[in-house]
Amino acid sequence: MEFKDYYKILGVDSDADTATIKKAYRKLARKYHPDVSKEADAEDKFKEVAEAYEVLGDAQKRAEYDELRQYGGRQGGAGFEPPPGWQSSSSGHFTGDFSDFFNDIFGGGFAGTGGFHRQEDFVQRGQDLEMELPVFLEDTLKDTSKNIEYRVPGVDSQGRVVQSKKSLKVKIPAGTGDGERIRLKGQGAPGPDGKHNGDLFLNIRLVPHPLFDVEGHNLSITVPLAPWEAALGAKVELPTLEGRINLSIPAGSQSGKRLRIKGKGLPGKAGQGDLYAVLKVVMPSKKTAETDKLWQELADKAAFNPRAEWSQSS
Amino acid sequence: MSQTTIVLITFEELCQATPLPTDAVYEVIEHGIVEPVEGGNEAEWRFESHVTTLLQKALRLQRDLDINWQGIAMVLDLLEERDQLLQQNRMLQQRLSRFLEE
Repeated sequence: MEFKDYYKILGVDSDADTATIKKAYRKLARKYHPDVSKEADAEDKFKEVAEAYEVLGDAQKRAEYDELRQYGGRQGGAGFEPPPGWQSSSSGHFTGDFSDFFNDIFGGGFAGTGGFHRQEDFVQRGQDLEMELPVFLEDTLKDTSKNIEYRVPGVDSQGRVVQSKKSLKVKIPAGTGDGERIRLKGQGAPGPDGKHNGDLFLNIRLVPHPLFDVEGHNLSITVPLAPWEAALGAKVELPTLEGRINLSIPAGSQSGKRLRIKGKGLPGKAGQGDLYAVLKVVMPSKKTAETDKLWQELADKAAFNPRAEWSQSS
Repeated sequence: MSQTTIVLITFEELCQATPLPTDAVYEVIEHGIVEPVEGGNEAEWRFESHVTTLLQKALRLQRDLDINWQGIAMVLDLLEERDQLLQQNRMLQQRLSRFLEE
């Protein structure tokens, strides 16, 4: 078992006073709180910090921990064992999901309700769970099913917090959009009585598509055009989520212009969305003396100043 | 299965889904952390079923960061706003990247 250096986790000296420890905890708790933080593995870091404070923030537990630290913690490495016959006098009702190290020293975290004692006579349900579910754009066109795996927190026979894996087949209805929630009744954590399960909520996240961007139920696609196509107009073959269509580009189209193609977006409750073709004029990458000559001819004949506005205002 | 239809739950069902005592659930509602979408009084109150996860979040913040309900209401509002902005920013970045040449 690895010895956990709680002082190091909180970034304080081993002789730090209570106020310093509390301050260090508060700062790290704000930084890594899994409901607030965007840091990678915030949840694991927060658990570590909370566990460190559970011990160092309590005078009796801290004294016991210091004793163990003197005994074997300084040896470091993964070989830490509490001394034979070690028994903590502060074992009791901890609420939380602590490490094996903590459990071995202080006798185990017990699942609790966070200090609230309810007197109501109705049954408490199990915890509702929430997870993100990435979905491909193509999968929202019609009803599809997807296998999901998730962890359900529970309590074992000794009252310890344990996680069990669960897998489910979920139906994603056609027209499901980004940020929508799917509720799976009774697929959350079991209640304190082992029954009355909570629910599972899936937050739908659309996976970015290489061609299409999503805005509500509308899609947009960028259409690269040669300068002469933008100038003279053109017919281009446009990919949609359901095959190719022909799109007419009007003569004299500007880069950035949006053309609406009705009904080629995503399905939705308020009807089918639209597809927007966003025009982007691109220059040919190859040039020759001949093409340069033609461009020059155009420059001379068109007499066009694209920055006319600048000369007026300065 | 009609999974995406919005499911509404009663006040009692909301209380069953949380370890909070009823008094505290009232307080949470008073602070607008969780709001009924229907109903003028307690017996008629209906909540969207996913507010239970919001309530859990509020409870974790209260326990771990020692914040009062007013502070939690503000944190949750700001978090929602931040997530919307991040999402919008991602979308705009993606669109912009299709237009810009590096």
